[in-house]
Amino acid sequence: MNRSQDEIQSLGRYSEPALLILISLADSPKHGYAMTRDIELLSGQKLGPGTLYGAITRLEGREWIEPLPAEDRRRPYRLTDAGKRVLQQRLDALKTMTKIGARRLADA
Amino acid sequence: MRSRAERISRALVRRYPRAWRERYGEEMLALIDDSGSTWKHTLDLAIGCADAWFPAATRHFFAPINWIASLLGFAAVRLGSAIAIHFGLIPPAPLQNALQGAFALIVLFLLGPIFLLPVLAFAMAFRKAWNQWFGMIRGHMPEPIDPQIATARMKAMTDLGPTRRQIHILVTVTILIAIGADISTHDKTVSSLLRLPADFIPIPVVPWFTYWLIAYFRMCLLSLRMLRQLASERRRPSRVE
Repeated sequence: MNRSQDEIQSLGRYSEPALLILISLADSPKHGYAMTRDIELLSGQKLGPGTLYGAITRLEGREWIEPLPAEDRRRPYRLTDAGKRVLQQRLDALKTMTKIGARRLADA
Repeated sequence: MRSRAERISRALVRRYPRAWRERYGEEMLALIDDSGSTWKHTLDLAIGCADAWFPAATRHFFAPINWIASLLGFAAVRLGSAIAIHFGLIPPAPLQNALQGAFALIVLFLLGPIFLLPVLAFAMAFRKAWNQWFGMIRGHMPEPIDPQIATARMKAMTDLGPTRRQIHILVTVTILIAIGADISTHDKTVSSLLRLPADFIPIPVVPWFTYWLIAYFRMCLLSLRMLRQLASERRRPSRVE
């Protein structure tokens, strides 16, 4: 298990929402509502405001995302370089796991 | 017309710690306005609010499994040592002294939080009275401040206390000291200075003792932080929404 995986998993119950947020921000900056909509389309999960901002706080604290100037009351966030690196490593790890899982399933 | 769930959700946002509200309050309210609020969201906000007030390490302190594990561990140690003494495997006197010391410490740590409860109750009562006195019982939302500053404050707030890695190092070091003390007790050639810790450190409960010590101080820090935050809210009244 590499370091980035450890870091994401250290977010505890926020690790999955955090990953979804990182994926959501991968193509463009988004504010809270846009993120929840995107994540709902992406995964079928609707994140509640408590979970969403709990995860955002932790991601921002680790400097994986950063806030942009507010538009009215909505503040968009974007991925930082560190966030992109962590997301890439996590996705690579998931890809490896998916391949292994699919191969074992095929062999069974 | 806002639904009841939405009204409660908005009220819950105002119950988050001040630093949190300053940084994310407006955004969260905007999200509730945009997406509406269901009872599921309200519950999610209530959990998030508790989470913001009580960081993970403190919740860990309250986890029943830790209390049960500690008490079972202590019981196992007592039983094991009783058997060992019965069969003459260990000279009884030093171990019994150590166990008595351990028992006193366990009682202290079990009773310790009870002494903190009146302080917390007073803090809550004080906050409620203050809100009523200034007509701010419906909650308040401070002016948004620079997100960079607010983020730094949030980080400072959540970074209090030892990290998990520091706890592991502390536990390991304490166990090593305890083992050293145990060896030195049985080896009379070791200087009396090295033997000294053995009189005070009950060897079998050292890991639990260290864990509780850290958790206990983290809880004290949290209580102080909450009181400081309440005091800062008192000094800096925010605009009523």
